Amino acid sequence: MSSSKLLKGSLAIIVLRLLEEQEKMYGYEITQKVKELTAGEFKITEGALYPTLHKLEAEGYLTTETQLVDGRVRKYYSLTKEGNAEAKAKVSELEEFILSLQKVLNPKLGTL
Amino acid sequence: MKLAHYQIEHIREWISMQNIWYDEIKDELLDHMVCAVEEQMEFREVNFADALAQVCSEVNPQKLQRQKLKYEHLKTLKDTLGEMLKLKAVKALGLIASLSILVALGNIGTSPSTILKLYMFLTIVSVFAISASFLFRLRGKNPLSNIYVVSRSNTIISSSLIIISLTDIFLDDWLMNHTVFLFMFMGLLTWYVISGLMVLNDSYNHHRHATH
Repeated sequence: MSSSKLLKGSLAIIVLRLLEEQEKMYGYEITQKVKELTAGEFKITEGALYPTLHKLEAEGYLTTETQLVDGRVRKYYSLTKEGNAEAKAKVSELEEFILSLQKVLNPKLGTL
Repeated sequence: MKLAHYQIEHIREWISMQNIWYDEIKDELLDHMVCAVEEQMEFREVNFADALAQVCSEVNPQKLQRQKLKYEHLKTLKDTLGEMLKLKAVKALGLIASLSILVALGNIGTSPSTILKLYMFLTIVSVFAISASFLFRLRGKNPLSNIYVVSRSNTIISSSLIIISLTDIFLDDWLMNHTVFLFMFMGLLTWYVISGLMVLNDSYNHHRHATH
């Protein structure tokens, strides 16, 4: 599995986590934030990001509001109450998974 | 580096040629592309034409629209199932009324086959007529801003048609010999259709208030 596939699989959790910290963000801002946090390692394309945002919105985890910025409409996403709970649950689930994965990939770490 | 008004309009024009129905996808794509072009011009020090060519080669507006439609259809079906589980008074009355008519038809000697054909025909006509009435009431508004209601209406009509067609193809003979299941099927379909139309009604009201 390529790293882009791994990233795509975790994208919803990344989005939920960022919005948990930032209150509200727009699409391009999310791509830039991920790029900044990973020092350019993770590059999120619009083709992966917006379908994820639309899916989370359809599932009721995100709510949106629009603002006029420099003559164009900007759509901001923020977490709903359900989205907040989902963010906490998914992040904790992923952390546990990464910990278990580390034990499998590097058993010595588990014994330290 | 901020883009000039004519440069933003140039990008808007490119997006308008991509056969996108949703205004909100157009708006979101425009904001994304403007930000991406501004960043390319600032950090890679390329001119507007080169930055735009690069950004255009990276985006796929059709894919975005397909994905959005898919999620909306799934959401409409999910909402309809949610409505079905709520079983409000109006739905219960609708169910009782339609089943009473069907039982009355059965009692006056109409064959199960005629009842089923008549029921399917009336169901489809009702779904089409009610959906069309919502769309007719939205005729004065910007057609592109109505796409959300149109899309939800499409989900309700298509799913009802699929259920009816599949039943007609695969279960028709079996249902003729099992009248109890025939009435159960008609009850469930009526329940589904009324729930779907209630979801459509909510979407229509929400859209009407949002665009006022």
